[in-house]
Amino acid sequence: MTVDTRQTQMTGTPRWHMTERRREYLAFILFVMPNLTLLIIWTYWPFFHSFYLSLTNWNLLKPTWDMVGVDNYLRLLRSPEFWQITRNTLIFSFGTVTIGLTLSLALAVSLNQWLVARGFWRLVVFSPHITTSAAMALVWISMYDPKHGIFAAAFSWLGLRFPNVLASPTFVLPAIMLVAIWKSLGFSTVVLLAALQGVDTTLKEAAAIDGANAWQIFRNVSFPAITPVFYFLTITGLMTAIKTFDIVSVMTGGGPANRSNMYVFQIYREAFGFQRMGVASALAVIMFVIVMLFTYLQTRYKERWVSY
Amino acid sequence: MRETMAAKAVKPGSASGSDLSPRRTVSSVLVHLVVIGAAVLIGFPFFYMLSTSLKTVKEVYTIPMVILPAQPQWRNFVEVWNLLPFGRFTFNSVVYTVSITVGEFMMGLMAGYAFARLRFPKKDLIFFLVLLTFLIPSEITLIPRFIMLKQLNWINTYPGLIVPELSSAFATFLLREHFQSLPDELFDAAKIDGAGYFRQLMQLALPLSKPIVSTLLLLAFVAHWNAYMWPLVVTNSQSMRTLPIGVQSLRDVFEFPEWQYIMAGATIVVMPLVALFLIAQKQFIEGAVQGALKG
Repeated sequence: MTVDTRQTQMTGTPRWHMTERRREYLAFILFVMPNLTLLIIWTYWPFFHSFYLSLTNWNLLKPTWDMVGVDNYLRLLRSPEFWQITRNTLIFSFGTVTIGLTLSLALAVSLNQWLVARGFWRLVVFSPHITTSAAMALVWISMYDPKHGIFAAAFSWLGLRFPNVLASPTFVLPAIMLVAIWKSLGFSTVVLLAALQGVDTTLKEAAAIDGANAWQIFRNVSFPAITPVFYFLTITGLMTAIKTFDIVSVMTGGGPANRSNMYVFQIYREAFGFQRMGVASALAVIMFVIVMLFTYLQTRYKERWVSY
Repeated sequence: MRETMAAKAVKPGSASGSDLSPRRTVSSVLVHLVVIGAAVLIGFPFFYMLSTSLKTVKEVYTIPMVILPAQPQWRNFVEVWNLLPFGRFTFNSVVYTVSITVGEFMMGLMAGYAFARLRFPKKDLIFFLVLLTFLIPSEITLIPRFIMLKQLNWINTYPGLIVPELSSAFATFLLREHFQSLPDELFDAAKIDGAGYFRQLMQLALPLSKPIVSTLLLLAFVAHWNAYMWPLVVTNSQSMRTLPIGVQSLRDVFEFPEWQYIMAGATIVVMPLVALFLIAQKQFIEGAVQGALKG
């Protein structure tokens, strides 16, 4: 309404105002349409279609298909394989995020001190973040090689034998977790460093004058100030970790015996290995629900922080 | 500027803690050791990749491990390039990455501008609809998209690889915020000069947005260059593979993995990104920080 009056005042003649507005509407449609159309066709429609597919026994190898209700979900919930994969995904996600963020925080605090060539160290620490997971996964396979890899060399130097971690049911998950931590460490370190640098220096100075030591300043001044960022990194880290695919696909193919299999790789395998689109879709929906839960936690927390 | 502020902040704190400089020196040395140690560990896989890529087969299979090749075998790169259609992979990667990066950016640019500066009934509702797609992970749209591509006969084609990825909520969101922050007077003046909306966008708004535009383009380039699952699902022939997927077949070529070739292949995949990162490190790091601190 207010916009309308301004428009009339500016132009004076109502007739011109109408065509001008029409021109603006037309421009809006032309500008927004391409993006919106693509989003509807290639994101919204497939999204809803997934829910529908999860209720069918759609199989690319068979000519016909039926509605099977929640059968796919029941089948998943009853299969030990599903619970194994859920367990892997959760251990992997919470493990990489907890260890990764602890290391990042320590590293960010160190980088926040007086340092020679700080920019260079930050550059090195950040670099894994921009590299190709699928290619670096090959490097890690080579490093993990039980005979010729660097780990084998380091172990034998200590007089120990390095196991074939990628073929070991016990070590395979920790082995790919290390790769994920390596890949994500730099991002959270750089973000935490920026947050630490944004902490009000007068507060820290005041605490120092009051006789607080470095640890007390960190514990009571710096860390509380960066908790929103820390929380954000936790949630987004978890969401990224849950969706891990490249590392699993390249390094282990989910094996041995599903010990490194996770949701997205299983979705991929059900859909494009076994052609069971229904089951794969049901699994995708379950994963979506878990991801939504994290998103919900994130927004809730954010609201609380706005009032802070 | 921020860094100097932080550096200043540290000094008064530690100085008031104690004026004995040995203690400060020791802790500073420790901090340096921690940081340098971490950087060495984090950088090691890159060193390992490069060093292995320049070894001979014999060196790769020597026990104990050879850290550096006696004579760098640069021809490993030539050989690996000819072993598989790496030229083709690179071409596909460039076509895929550049068209999505540019297309996505154009979509976001136009939509972001319209949402920020044009009036339309229920505009905010439409924007919300765009924003909601943030919440839809690509993993859940994968299977229906694949079925659609199959029906369109777009499997293993460039349109199949590119078109579904062209839309962008992220670019729209960021550019809308940015265009909203530009002063109204600028646009009013342009309107009086008779500039159309498209001209206002391209000649007025875009030149004022260089930092955010370069950040967006860089982040998108890296994301699509690294894409693995989508091109893996959409393509099924060697001639359509992008680099991250094509390089994987190096493992199937030999009876025993010839790591010098596989590492040379991995280097070829990663090298353009490393070069880009070294040129534009500031934008990358600031882009990451901005995204996180705003979110």
